[in-house]
Amino acid sequence: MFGTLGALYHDEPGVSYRRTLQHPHGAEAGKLTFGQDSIVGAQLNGRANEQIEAMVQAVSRWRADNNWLPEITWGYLRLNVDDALVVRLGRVGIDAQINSESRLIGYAALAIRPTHELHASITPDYIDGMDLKFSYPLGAAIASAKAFYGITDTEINADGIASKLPRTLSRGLILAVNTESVQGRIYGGVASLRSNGATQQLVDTVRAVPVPAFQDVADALDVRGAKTTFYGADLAYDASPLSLQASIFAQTGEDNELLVPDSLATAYMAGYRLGRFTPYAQYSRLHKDGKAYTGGLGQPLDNIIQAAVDSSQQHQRTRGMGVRVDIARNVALKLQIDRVTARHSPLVTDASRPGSEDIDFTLYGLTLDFTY
Amino acid sequence: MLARAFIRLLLILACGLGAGALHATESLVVIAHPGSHIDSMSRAQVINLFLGRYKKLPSGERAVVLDNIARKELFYQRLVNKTLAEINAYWARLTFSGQTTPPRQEDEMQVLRRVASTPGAVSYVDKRFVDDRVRIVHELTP
Repeated sequence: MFGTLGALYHDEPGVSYRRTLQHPHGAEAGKLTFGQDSIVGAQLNGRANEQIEAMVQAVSRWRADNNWLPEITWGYLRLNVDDALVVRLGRVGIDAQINSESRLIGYAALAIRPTHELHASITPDYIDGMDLKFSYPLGAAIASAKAFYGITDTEINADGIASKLPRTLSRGLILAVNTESVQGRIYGGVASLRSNGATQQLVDTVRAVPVPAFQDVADALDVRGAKTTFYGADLAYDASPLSLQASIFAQTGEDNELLVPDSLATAYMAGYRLGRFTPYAQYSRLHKDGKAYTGGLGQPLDNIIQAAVDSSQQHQRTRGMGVRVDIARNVALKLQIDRVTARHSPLVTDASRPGSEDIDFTLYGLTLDFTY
Repeated sequence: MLARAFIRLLLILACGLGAGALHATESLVVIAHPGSHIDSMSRAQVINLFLGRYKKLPSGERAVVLDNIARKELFYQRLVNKTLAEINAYWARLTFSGQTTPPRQEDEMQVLRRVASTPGAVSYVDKRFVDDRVRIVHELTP
């Protein structure tokens, strides 16, 4: 079992902050919010024999449709084909970015929450499909190759309404090398979009007009069949008491797709343990550039389409510092202060300011993480 | 009264320092089943096994890794300079992301018995408790 009890606070008037796109409401100024960082999960493992294992994990957190009902985040059959080759079939975590498989486990991480800027481009926590990992000693190091293949069907909350992201088929490859204190990873993959999700109604509306200009825009809005390519690298150094981490992630969409932006994210973290205390600092940045829409369909359609294009972009950076205190066996207390600067961010909004304006504010977080 | 309290404080400190000194000179050894076809293991190989990165012994045999509860804190401090809290956080990450499970936890005598009787078993004990039922494959000196 694992969990986090988290309290979040900021005092920027009018600003609403959400930790993830799934959350139905944001943290508002002057109010202590417990829903953003709190989570509880339970896991069951079973083993038929040395070759076959099964695992199911359920997590309760604030969901897009404004409830805390448990959700199955993992559920797979694991085949240990050989001690070096493992296949998992079912619902498995997405392991693209470093530690993304364990991003819900607060106790396992140094900071309160994974940097949104790095993890934003892969919003789903899991895929329904399979992964396959092969490990091999390479001198004193362990090299591994992992391939994954599966469907994501993620629910988010946009403008207070629970809606679906495009259903996506993702496949990728991760190559990693672990030495005594250094972990290096490179990865890449392709995501094929299978549905329009929440924008289906907009696509249908534009396509209903039998005029070539409308059909062209409908084609550009329709993401079914579109592909995005993603790739990245992580380098982590962990020689206690010092730990360092640097990551880069990029995603590119096809030029003719209005709602599939290109993005580039970088993140850095440093921590230094002093007994039970581990102070840390982090910096992360995301540029998600929306495509240019030239208009021409008349109002109000042009405005609606422009708003959809704007919502696909995001510019955000966070500078944070904090301290983790291991107060008891399997229990950690964390205090973190983040300075967030965001523009066109679906997570940071202020109804009184245009999306193109920078919103700059400070977030205060306090969490109690545990496992047992 | 004050003198008695002072003497008690000195005794506590002396015991503490003594325990620390004993801890500092304690010699930990990594042991393996005598039938395992390995004479020694490098520090990197020990790290890969005990951090769950690789599940085979250098001989190619499947490893059965055991933690010795009594020496665990000192072992990981010497092996990777990590506290038990850091090791617990490390295993939380692997366990709750379904990657692998941590070594089985045993007390010192159980560790010796199990390593002696289980092909592929590896663990660590205080060097003073080692006998010819097991084979020393690595030594972690203070």
